[in-house]
Amino acid sequence: MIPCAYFMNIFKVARSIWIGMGITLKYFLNHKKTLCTIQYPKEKDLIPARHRGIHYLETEKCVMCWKCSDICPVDCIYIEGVRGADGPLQGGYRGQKATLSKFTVDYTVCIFCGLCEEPCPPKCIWLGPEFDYHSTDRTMMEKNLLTDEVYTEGDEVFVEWARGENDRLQEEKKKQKEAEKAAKEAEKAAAAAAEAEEEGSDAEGESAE
Amino acid sequence: MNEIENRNPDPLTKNVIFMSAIDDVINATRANSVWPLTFGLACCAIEMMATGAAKYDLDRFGSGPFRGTPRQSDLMIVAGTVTHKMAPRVKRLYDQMPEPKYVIAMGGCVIRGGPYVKHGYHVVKGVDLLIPVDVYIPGCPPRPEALLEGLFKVQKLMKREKILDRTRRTTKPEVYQPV
Amino acid sequence: MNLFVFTNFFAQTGKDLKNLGDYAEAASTKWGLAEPGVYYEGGLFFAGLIKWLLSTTEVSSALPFAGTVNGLMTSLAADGSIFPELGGLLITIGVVFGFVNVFAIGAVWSERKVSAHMQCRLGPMEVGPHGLLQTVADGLKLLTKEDIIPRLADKPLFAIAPAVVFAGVLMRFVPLPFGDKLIASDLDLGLFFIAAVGAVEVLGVIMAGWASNNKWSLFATIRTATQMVSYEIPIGIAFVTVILCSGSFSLMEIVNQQGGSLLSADDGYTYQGWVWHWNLFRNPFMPILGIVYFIASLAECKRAPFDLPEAESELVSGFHTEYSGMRFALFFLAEYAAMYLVAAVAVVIFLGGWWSGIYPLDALGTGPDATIYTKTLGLLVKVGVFLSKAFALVFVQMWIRWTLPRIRLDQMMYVCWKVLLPISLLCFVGSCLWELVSGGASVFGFGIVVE
Repeated sequence: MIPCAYFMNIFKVARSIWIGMGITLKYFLNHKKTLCTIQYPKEKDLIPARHRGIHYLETEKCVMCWKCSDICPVDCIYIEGVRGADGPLQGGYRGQKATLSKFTVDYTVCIFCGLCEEPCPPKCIWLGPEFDYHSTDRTMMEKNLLTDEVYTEGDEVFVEWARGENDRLQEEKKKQKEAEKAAKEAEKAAAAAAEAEEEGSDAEGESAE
Repeated sequence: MNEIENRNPDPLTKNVIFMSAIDDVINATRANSVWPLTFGLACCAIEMMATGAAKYDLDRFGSGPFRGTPRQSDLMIVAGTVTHKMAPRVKRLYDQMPEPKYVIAMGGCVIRGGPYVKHGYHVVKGVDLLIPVDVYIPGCPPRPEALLEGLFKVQKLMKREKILDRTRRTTKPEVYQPV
Repeated sequence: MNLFVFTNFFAQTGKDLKNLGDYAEAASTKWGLAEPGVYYEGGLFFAGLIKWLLSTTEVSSALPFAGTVNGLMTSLAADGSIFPELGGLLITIGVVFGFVNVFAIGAVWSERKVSAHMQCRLGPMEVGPHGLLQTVADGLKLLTKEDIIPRLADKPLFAIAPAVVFAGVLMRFVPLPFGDKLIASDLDLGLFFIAAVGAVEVLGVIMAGWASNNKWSLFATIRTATQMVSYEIPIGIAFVTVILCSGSFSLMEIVNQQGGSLLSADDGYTYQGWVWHWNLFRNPFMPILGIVYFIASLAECKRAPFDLPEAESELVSGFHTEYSGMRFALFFLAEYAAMYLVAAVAVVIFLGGWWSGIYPLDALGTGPDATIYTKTLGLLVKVGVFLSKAFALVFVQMWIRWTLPRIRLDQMMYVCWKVLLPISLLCFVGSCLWELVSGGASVFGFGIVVE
């Protein structure tokens, strides 16, 4: 009674080890042909066309519709600006129907989903081929898309001023509107008074006859 | 490639001053042998494995041996979402690592919670609420090349240390000084 | 080099020795007597070299303590030196330990490169040219790490365990030759010593796992102890078979019987060893025994596929989980030293030691009319042959590691007790019967011919 299974077991193990070691030896000896390493800092890989990386904005096309900011699932896009095509903000960034003062993406939260690209009407925001935005400090990871630089406190100063300017302009506009309204009402009142006077004089004329 | 480095250089690593020769030698050898801890929690772990695999080889920079135990590793790459259940274990493993130790926060989830930042009741919104982080790498998940750049940043941070002064990590500026 | 002869060489007075040739001449004769060619002691050549270096080089007087250093060097080299035994001892220890360190540095680098090349990638590339300085960087980094001892760990055991493991490995280098007569000490019980002292390593591993106060380390320790102790049995049976066929425990004697012998013609030997005179082809059971020994020695070294003690996915790095910094570096060093050790022992007992199997290479530097330079060259050739065979076996160990997955605990026990042990016992019994029937002959004859 020969334990056939026992010897078959040993034979199968030996054969599988033999085959396996043959494969590794083949890879070891054909090393130059099987090498697939891209030595990163010296050689770089091809980035595909639809790669979703760091955002870019074409400022002159932007209509400040806030659609990209609304659809962002993590609320990482911050947009501020002033309506009106004639650019009331001096030194601002002129878009199509608005002047932008702040357009930043916060990369500490951004998940690079690409949803902000789709609803943009003039298709002015897109995700580009760059992927590297690491930092030692998480306050340095917000990108100002208007200047393509990191959003710093200097930019924040401009944005505060822009908000102040915006408020002031809104106030002015409101005053102007009120003044116009007051003038219109005064005109209307004057016109009504003139008509009433005419009617009164007509009525008087008729009664005198 | 890194926009920040090109336009606004990090004041911590901008000018690597020549220190004494012994510091340079020790830091250079330490920087070339950074052993990471296998701490892949979620999808970013796949990219970390891809970085260790054949195409972008981490072993080229000496970081090949991923140690299973925190006692033998220098670098903790927190790759993946940290949940409330996992948080005490993250802290425990960080405490078990011997000095000098470094942490890379890889991916959106460990910087500010990532896609879970608005409604994630189970997620710790950023691993630096638990442990001090040296390098943040955004991405969901970051490309292997981005992780390699983060590793280079850690190596640069190592190179600015002095052997006689072990308080190297705490010198972050309080207020950001624009360059 | 035979330590006793070495130290005596340093202590004895000789004729007026001026240049390297004189020293080598004096060293190549037995006891430094003026009869060249009578007795060639390979190790003594290096003694002569060191003595020449010590007596002719000088530290420049600009350095501090130059006078003291120079005096010490000349006194070590001069006739009737002040520390004969100590000098010889230090040099022997230095050479062996230095070899182990250099080998470990080279082996770690080559392991990473070999594994990388088998996985279609490059290994370390940035540190030196093609990453040659990578292990140096690793070692220096481990020196600068914090030394952690867990609070509830058994501190004395925790501290001593790496040293015990490393000592257990290093002690086994004592009877191990590097070339013809290049041994720290040619013990008469060489193989037995190697097998017995190997148990010290098991003790060190058990100490490490227990002292860590960590359940993973404890599991790993139990698995390791089981594995190492079990696999010592097929190794022991392989040793016993070889001893049986060769008739001696001494490693040099075993090697000498596989090729030529360089004892002088007065002792009645001539040398004509070819490849088929090696122990591996001595009788039909020896190749099987060689494979059994190789597999069992892989398990002794805790190398894959038997690396249960270090299994990451199950045991978080096994018995050295709690070790950091230099203590871990000692475990690392011990593992690579053990790799070389078992490879070298396999070369000695099965693969013909330093005999290349090609007659002209083996006969270089032997014979009555050989000059100093051919003798030196012959010795270097033999050392080169031995090291190449040992490194080839180390490469095979690495090749196996990066091919095979880890085996389970029960599979490991099955392999040891149900496969390797019966096969090795059968080969042992077969060799005994062979020796009885054939009267001690080998299949292809012997390398030495007694006239």
